[in-house]
Amino acid sequence: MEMKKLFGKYKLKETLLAYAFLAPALIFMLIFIVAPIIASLSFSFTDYYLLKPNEIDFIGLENFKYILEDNLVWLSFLNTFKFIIMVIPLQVGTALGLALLINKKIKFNLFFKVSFFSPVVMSLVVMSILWMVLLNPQSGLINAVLTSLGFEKQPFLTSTTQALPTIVVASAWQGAGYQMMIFLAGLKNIPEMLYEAAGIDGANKWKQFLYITLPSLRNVTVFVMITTLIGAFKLIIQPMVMTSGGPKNSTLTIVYYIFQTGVRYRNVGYASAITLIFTLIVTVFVMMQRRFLKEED
Amino acid sequence: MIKISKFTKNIIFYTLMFLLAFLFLFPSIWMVFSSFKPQAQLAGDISSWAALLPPLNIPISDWFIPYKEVFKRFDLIRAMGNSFFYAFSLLAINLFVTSMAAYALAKFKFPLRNFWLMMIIFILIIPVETNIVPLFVIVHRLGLENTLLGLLAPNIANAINIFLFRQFFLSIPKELEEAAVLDGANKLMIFFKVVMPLSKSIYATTAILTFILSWNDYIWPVLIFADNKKMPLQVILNVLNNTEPVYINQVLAALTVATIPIMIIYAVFQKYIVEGVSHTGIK
Repeated sequence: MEMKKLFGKYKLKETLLAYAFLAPALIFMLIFIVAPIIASLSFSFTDYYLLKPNEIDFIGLENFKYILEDNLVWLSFLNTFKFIIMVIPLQVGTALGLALLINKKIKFNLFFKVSFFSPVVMSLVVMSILWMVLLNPQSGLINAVLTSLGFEKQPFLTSTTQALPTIVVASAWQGAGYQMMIFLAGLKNIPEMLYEAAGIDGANKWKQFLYITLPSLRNVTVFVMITTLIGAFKLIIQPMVMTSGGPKNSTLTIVYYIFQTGVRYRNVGYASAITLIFTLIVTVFVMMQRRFLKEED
Repeated sequence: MIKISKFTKNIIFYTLMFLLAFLFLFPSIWMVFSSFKPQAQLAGDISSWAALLPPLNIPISDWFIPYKEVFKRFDLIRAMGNSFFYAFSLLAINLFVTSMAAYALAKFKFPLRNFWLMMIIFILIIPVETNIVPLFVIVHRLGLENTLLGLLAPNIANAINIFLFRQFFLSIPKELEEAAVLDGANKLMIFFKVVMPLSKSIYATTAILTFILSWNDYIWPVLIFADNKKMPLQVILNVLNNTEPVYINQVLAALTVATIPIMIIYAVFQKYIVEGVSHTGIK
């Protein structure tokens, strides 16, 4: 009996078995998820160039000094934040609106639900290529519709001012249906009793929405907003496929810039330094999420 | 008076609803119907309602000409085969590895358990894309570039699946496992004989989410494969969209083909996907 009690309150046999169960997952996680995070920390103080792995020198804070002077870093951060600020209200607002519309007992309910959800089945690559074709300035369907309605043709993805907002709209169009489902699940959890009681008290539909529906959805809304935020932070496929970051870097996002620096130009040290700063920013937002959700409990 | 106004209200409401549905549907409708049209007809239809109709003027047997052409120009069969092979390989390894880990984290008492849990919650939230360059360097150094293991490795022990499995295992009542212990089963047997059969629904949910994740993956295969013969379908779609001459009908045909498997999965397994959605909300 004494032998079995290895670490005080833990049983040896159970501990061994637990680690046998855990080992495969831990090995993959430590090598391919945790190690890269630590590696980015150490690479970022070096001049690591991918093709010369034997000539790595410690260069202190040089990479970080260079970040301060590198306009493309600032521009790609700015573009990413612009994207976040536009896509969160548009996508989350649309998702919530659609969920509220569908939650009512209306006719053709299933048809509407399937319609709103349908873009979700497309991959980001498929969605990006499809919208590229639709938005083609010369031959695209959207400009054909605009012309027949009497509007001027728009450059969309080929314009420095329109490209990023266009990617915002296309992304929200693709993602809103998924979040609509999350909101629907949240709406289903609100007890019908609350509405009945409010109805007896004489609260109209608008007041019921304001004082029952919205507060009950607070947790779900924060959750959806944070997941949208994290998704928006890592925006890369849409600009990669639709605009290659252009025109004039107007759709260059931070992850895309890291990708270009590290992979195309093989400047691993510098890419790691940007990665490090980016990871810190994402982590701060994540901590905020945890605080938000904790306050609710 | 009131009745009429309610009737009018309904008409306005449903008109708006159908318009809204149309906004979400028209790109897909156009994609599918245009993929059946010859290039000239596609371009000609663009400024009329015919853009959203199938090519009724040509026999149905000719609708698939753009499909035949695009399959002739690009090895889409191989690309699709690759995508299926990668997705199923990932599924087989991932579900085994993550569910075992989750079971240990849910039902065993051992040192450092909370530490590992915290670590999983942390990496659950930091997107893999964030550290793609150092990840690439590690895979490169391990000599896993251009290999199946290199492609799958970062997704094998994904935190989302561990988290989903653990939540589910926590909800399995102790009594069931205790009864098995009385029958003389050890923990290993309990996992395979009692827990796994009880957990079919969570295996289905994670399997579907993982399949979709793998099928839609783009950045990582681009990074670690040099050879187009190994590329999954998503990468080939972009190659096809950038290879002159670009025929729109063929591009749309390829996009449609690439979407069909996911569409079928959503249609057939919607119950499990909704379950996954309400558990995580993470795609």
